[in-house]
Amino acid sequence: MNDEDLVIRIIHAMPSVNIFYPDATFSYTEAIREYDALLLLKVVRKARGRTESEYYPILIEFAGKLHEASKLMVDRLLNNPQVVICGSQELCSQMREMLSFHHFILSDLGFLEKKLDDFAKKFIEVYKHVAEHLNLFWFSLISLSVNNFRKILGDFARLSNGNLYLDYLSELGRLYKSVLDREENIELVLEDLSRIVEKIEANQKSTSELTRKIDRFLQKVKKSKQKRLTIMIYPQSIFIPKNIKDTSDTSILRLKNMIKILKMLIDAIKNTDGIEYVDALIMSNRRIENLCNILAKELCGLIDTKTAYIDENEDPLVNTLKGLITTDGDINLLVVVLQDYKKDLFGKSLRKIVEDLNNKGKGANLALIIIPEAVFTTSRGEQTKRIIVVSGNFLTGISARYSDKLDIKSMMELMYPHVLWLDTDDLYFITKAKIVW
Amino acid sequence: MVIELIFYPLCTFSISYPWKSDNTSKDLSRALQSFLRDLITYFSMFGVYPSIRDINILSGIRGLKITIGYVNYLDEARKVMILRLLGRGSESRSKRGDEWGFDRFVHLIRECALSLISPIACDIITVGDSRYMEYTHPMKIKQTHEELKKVIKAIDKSKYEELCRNFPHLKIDVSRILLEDQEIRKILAFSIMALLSGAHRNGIAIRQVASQWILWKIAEIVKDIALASKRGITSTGMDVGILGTNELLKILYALIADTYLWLSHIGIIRVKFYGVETHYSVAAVPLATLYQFLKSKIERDGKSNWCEFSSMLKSFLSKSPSFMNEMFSSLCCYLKMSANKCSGGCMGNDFSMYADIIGEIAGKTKVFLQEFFKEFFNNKDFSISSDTLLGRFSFLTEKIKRVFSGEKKKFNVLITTATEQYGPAQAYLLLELLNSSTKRGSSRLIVLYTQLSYWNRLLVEDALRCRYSTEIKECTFEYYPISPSNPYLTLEIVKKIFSSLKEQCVLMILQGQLNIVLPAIAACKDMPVDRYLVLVL
Repeated sequence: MNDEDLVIRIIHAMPSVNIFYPDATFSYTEAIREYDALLLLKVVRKARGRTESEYYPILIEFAGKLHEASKLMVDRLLNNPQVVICGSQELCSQMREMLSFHHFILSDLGFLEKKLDDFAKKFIEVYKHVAEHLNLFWFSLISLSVNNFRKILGDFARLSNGNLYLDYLSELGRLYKSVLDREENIELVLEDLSRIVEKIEANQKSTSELTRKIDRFLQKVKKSKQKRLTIMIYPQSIFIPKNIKDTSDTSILRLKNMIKILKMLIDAIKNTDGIEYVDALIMSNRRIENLCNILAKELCGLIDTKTAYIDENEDPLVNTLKGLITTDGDINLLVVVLQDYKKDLFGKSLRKIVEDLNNKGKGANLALIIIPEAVFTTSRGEQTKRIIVVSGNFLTGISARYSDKLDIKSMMELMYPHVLWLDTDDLYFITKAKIVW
Repeated sequence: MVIELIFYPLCTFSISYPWKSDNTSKDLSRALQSFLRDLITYFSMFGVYPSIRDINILSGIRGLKITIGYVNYLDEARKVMILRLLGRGSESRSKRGDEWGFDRFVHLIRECALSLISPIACDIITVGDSRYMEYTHPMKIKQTHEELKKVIKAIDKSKYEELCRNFPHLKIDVSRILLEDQEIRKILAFSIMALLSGAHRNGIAIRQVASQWILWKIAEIVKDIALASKRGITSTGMDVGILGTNELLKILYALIADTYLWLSHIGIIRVKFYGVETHYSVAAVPLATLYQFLKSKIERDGKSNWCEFSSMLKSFLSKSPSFMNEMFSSLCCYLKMSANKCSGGCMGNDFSMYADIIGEIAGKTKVFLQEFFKEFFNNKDFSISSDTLLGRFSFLTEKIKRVFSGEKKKFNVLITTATEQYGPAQAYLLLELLNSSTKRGSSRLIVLYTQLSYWNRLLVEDALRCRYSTEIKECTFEYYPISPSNPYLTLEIVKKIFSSLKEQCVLMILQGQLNIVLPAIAACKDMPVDRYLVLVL
């Protein structure tokens, strides 16, 4: 091909590409496969005065050890994506002997690995916020037919709204859509994309809004007469039989995790300046009665704990909330939802409480947090190079890393953006009549 | 008979037509090819989307038979699909091109059964002709070699016919309805995929989506018959509709059998099914109840798991005529009642009719299941809180009907969250609601989905495109990926959607975990109070 020039350029790179089972999203499961990078290559062909460009995505595996070649076996069951194995010259020559000739093995690409490592640091903040979207993106890239992948990209492209993370996803969708449709605006999209990444990097402290909300809530607690905070707990709906003996049962293990995070939360509240008294109210119902009893027993050693029983067929909470409502002074209530709760009971009981507080004329100071059982988040990178990992056990791992004297604000900041914090206004709104629970 | 101890069939789907060069045969051939395309798309979970040109390799096909059943594998009922493809002539004389097509098709399906992405988990057995000991045709030699080398399961044609003849199972003939209705092809393909899905959480969701889709189609056929007879019209498609209902009910019955009997059997053998895989799934709660009863029965009777399973399956299949009769009589009752009833009101006639039929069939199914298991376990205490397959859909329909029967506001935009049970039936239901609200004016259906429900989003779009390609031009469909791991993004996305609305009124129907529902609600905070309504399910 004397009269032709072929130039290959990497135009976009994403480090640490995890492929998770989408159907096991909330099961605290490990990824099926992790590739070290996804590169988008531009192949420019100059022939007879004409320039033509083609784009190809390839996955990179930086192999450090010989046994990593066996990862290719997993790829066979994953739609056989195009993977390039990179490594030292010695390792590559050993691998070449092991694998068949058609496998793409490249040695001496240490510079690329180094560059991607630097790149990964930039991406931590992005990945932390959009981990699940990226999982969907990568999974679709590998496992969906092009026409279906295009649909997912179209959905991504629609996300842009001025929020940096959504804008990033939108541009990512646009980039790959432009590549698929061979549009001419690819360079422009790439520029937009790198501009957004830079902005995100410059704007690392993204918890300011959350901090303001928590400060406002805590200020009110401090100003209240008794400086008392009541935690209203909606535990995850796990059925635990009364006579359960097997302590290795999944439900028992999950209950233990609930207890652990609640204890951490109580400690954090106790460590918070200005809060002098903490008590708890556990929201029980027919299905989780036994679970709530165990929970109450565990917590009563730490703080004053009551249990409110919500019945589907009766007007809930009329009597059980008396203790809470008759308290003198202002009410400071932190509603804690552990993963999920029966929605109609949750909505109706919350509405009842807010109405009752309103009727009593008490200036309630309210906040609500939902602590999910498992989330996709970023790893610290000490034990693994994988950026996105699954964190389970109600995020106890995230807080446990910084266990020394965590207060509630720093605990919430650590769990950001996985734990939603809603304030008094939000809660008043949620309990409005225009919402049918 | 020895074979009875190791194999039990559940159902056989058969599609066949005589090979002629007339237009009907050509239409049937095209319908069959389009069905096979859907089958491949669903089997690969949208990983493969062959164009009709690709599927032309199967142009010689004049029919197929798919038998789904269970084999005893070390006391575990392992699912098998026996596939018999019919060519232009008899198998031994079929054209060389047909053979290539068949071979590639079977390989593709086998590939899906192995893939980590595809939800299907079954052994694939092909039906061959072992009359001749020797072959000279290269294709035949290749097939024989593969069969023997990889022990690819193949069954002789005469043995297969004997199996189909001697074992009582559901025989579902879809030749005629397949030609009539493009959507039924999709329902059929998806239902086969659901029946072949493994014992995993997504497998339950796929079965739910398939059952709901079948139920919706039945409701639609019955509604059309009711409306036609009200107007005094005898529709030409009516008999096909009745035939369709009959076959669809059989598929529904097969799905019920597979879900309740096979999944609970697997739960006995692999206890992790409840402890790990479906611990988060509300839909698996009735199966866990069934598991307790089945476990006690096995312990009490001292039979093997396979014996208990096959006798339960045999007993369940023997009840299929009474299930069909019950459903038919209840649908006939409904038709009689609707002829005299003049329903209307703000909900719209169509929506009410759908809701009534869905409620009727779902309710009857639950009662039927309770009665069957009470009798089978000889225990009056057996009770399930809801039906795994249709319970959620029926609840959803009922609640929407109850909430909106008095609602006078006109909603142009509907925002919903797609859970793993979200499928075409739920989308049609929401569209009917939108249509009855806007009187078929312009509207938007916005679906928020997670990485878990990516396939639901693709399936619904596929179904909507097939169904409403020409009908609904006024309605636009939009899909937004959201993330339970970052509820703040969900909040932002819903806010963005609201900012794009002008003076339209928004209806939000929210399902799923609170980490999705609450940020979506919180995003409405800045909306004027008269322009939205939220329904949490």
